[in-house]
Amino acid sequence: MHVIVCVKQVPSVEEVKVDAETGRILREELPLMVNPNDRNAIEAALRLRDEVGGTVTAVSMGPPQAEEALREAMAMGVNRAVLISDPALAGSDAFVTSKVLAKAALKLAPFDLIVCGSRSADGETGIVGVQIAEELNLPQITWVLELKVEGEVVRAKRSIDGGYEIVEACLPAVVTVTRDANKPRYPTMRSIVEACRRPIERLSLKDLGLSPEEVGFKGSPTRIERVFQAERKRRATIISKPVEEAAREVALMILRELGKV
Amino acid sequence: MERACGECWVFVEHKDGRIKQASLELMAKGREVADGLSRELAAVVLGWNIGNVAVELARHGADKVYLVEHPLLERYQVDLYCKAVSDLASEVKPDVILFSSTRVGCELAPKVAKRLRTGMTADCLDLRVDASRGLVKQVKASFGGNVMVEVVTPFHRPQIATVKPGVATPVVKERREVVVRVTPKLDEREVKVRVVEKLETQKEDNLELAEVVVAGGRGAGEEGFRLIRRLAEILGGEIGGTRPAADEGWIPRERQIGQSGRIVSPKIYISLGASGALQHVVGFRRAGLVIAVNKDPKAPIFDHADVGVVADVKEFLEALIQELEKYLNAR
Ligand SMILES: Cc1cc2nc3c(=O)[nH]c(=O)nc-3n(C[C@H](O)[C@H](O)[C@H](O)COP(=O)(O)OP(=O)(O)OC[C@H]3O[C@@H](n4cnc5c(N)ncnc54)[C@H](O)[C@@H]3O)c2cc1C
Repeated sequence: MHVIVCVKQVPSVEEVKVDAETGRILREELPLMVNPNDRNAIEAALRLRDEVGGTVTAVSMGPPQAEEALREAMAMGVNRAVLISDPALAGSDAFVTSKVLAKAALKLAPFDLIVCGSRSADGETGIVGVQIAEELNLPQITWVLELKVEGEVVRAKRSIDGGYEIVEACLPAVVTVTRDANKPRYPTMRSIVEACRRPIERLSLKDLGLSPEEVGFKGSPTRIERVFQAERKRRATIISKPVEEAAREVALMILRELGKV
Repeated sequence: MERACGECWVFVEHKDGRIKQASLELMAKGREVADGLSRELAAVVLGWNIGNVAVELARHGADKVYLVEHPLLERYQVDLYCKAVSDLASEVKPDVILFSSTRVGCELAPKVAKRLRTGMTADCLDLRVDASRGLVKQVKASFGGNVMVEVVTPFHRPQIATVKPGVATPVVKERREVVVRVTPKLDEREVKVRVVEKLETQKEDNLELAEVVVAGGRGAGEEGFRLIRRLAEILGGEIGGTRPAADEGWIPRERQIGQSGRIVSPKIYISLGASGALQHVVGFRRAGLVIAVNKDPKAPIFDHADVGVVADVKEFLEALIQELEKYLNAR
């Protein structure tokens, strides 16, 4: 079985710094990492491979340094890593990203399954996985919690509004896995060292048969028009009293607000 | 650019003959957008034998209802729903299509957008209108909620967005009811994903409608959450929490509050042992009185609360519960 897993390198959003004057995100200062949810995708892919055999290929679209994310995927245990990098790709939105990743999958065909994280930590769109499926006209299973492949069929437990459902689709298919799907493994020291020695394959736009006009900023239907900091509407009055007194004051406040006193 | 007919569409979800709360809220947002752009608001509702739902929609501000009925649409299925909506949109060419950020909306909207070869923005917290350019400015949190961004789709139509439940309040606005019946061309062979079994586990909770929400963070700990449940019970409120609280299993994932969780707007929001990360804070911006408890006086949560108490969650909750019980028992 050949599983393709999509991996994105993202800034560590817990440490985002914003230029106070312009509201611009100081991207250069952010440490980079594998999108946390994509680790769940890698883990799901690896478990499938370990169950039924085959190979896992990690694919990333990004600038040259996205190589680091792929190294991490290799250290976790993926067999192959492919980086799609081209200056023309800068500014691509989810629509374009899914087109590029879909083309890459075709280039790497045959494949049985494409696994993505449900969403990325920076853009937080949750769009890419779904749109890869649509682009390739393949079955799409989103919000996956459990995954099994039996013969030519993928079976998944997925989260829906108000509960869960078990669904089935024929391979090849595209699935997006949630944070709750699994606990991603940590690479070992040895696997990290080994991953550094292995080659990372590269694909250019030309390899994928795409023109610069179709991708990047030019090819993207959406535009970010403004970045701003959400305004702070409140500033708490601190009750600095011993706990019992503070609790009494808060209790009164609550009862008053609810119209009970 | 493709010519659009100018309609603003809202994709409506319903269950057991009732329109979902999220869709009613979205109708209110849609009405604002349609009015801002001087356009008609159309509700698009899919199903089988759902005429009563269409009538209800006119009460919530729709100028027009597309009633898309087919036996194969009786239950939601992504491939068929996508085809029915996309085909109709290809024919009518609406200017805007809005979906709720529910599980259904989150997988349907991107698929429809791709099929119509247009852009979309996910999980919007607000929609604003730039009437002079005919654009919907789609406001969402980005970079883990640290910043807000405004996204537009200038040259492609329709403009598509999913909007988070909880960011608007439903309104009752009577309109003349114009129902357009649509019979989509569907074929069972188009179904690529088959549902084998459905397990409904959670009753629909009232988090978005709750008057009181008591929410805990990592700092509350398991013991704290026992007291949080007790407090919610006493106040007739609902419980919620931060992402770590959900990760730890102290609350069900469905009760995570914030950008990748739910948006609540209770009269009173009580935050216990949460640091006040912006990803979490966007979840209760619309609340009335916000009370925060954290043992760290420098915790950012105090910048997003009206009243702050610097204390240990457990000690504070024990005292607060005691106070409230004293009062309630005295009555
Ligand atoms: C893409 C993305 C999306 C996210 N979406 C969400 C979301 O929707 N919702 C969400 O909540 N988070 C979300 N997060 C996570 C968010 O960034 C924060 O990590 C999270 O909100 C922090 O949770 P917390 O406040 O419970 O934990 P912590 O940040 O660990 O804070 C715990 C707090 O408790 C206090 N404390 C500890 N012990 C005690 C005690 N005994 N008594 C009193 N106070 C105590 C500490 O002082 C501290 O301030 C998201 C993150 C990313 C990257």
